[in-house]
Amino acid sequence: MSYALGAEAAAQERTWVSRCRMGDENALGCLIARHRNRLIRTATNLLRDRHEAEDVAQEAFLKAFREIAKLRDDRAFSGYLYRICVRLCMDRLRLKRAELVEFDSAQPHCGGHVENRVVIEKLLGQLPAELRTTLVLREMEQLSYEEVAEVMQVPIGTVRSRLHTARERFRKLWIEAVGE
Amino acid sequence: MNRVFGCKKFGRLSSEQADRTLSDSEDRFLSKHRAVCPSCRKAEVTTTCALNMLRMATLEPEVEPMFEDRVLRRLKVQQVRESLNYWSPALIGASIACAVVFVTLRIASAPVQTQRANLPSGEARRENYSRTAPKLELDHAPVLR
Repeated sequence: MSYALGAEAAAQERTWVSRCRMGDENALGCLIARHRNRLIRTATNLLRDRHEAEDVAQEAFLKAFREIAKLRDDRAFSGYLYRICVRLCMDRLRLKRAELVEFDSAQPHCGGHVENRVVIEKLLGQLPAELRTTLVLREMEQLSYEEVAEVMQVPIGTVRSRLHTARERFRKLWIEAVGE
Repeated sequence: MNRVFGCKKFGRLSSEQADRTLSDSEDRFLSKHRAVCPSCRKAEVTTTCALNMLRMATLEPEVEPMFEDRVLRRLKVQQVRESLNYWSPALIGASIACAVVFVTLRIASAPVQTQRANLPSGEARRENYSRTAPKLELDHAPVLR
């Protein structure tokens, strides 16, 4: 899932952004309606909390609209908004303490979908914010290396090495959680 | 479990094969290494399994129906707050200046209150109080030499 827009959608967005600069409330509404699902989805997968995700998405919109006058390129709004959202999520993740969870290896973890989600949330909770964000953006949001690098504002090489480390750590945590 | 030469490279390429098309030589290396290293084979299977579970745990967004309205309301509140923050030093300064001007005008316009006794039409009076005559104590006068 890419956050880049098609040509027609991008042109429409440029119009909305320039109308937003003039204080058009309808254009603001259109921009919110276009981007809200993607922002909330990414924030939900990063934070694993729907309420917090909605709060972060709202904050991202507020921050982006406040700075919209300073935006040099109207085409950049989509990426700019997404970057703000991811950065806000990372700030929140850093504030949260890594949850150290002990798993009962004797208990089988072959259970249902909900149980799997709980295990995954606990495992993700043990990864540092940078690794967790890289992993989620690549594996869940299916962004390309270039897109992850742009969103996180790091070189592609860093994304590659972080992703490798994140996968390796996640695998080890997974083995600890479910047993051999 | 015994590890063989190239396990690190295998781990890196195994991770990257999900993100890009590997070259023929890289592909051959993976196949060869997979055949001889059970440890890496197992690690690859576990990674695939763990990542599949991760992808399956993707949450779909649940957008509240009034989301746009809430954002717009917060935006308006934020704009009012920002404009207040911007203008508050000027407003405080202006109100202090107004207060000073008001107090000055009030003092200037107030009638001068003079004591009745000092008024020109007032009656001049002399206080009468008993005075005792000074006593000369010549006996105690110092003797000049």
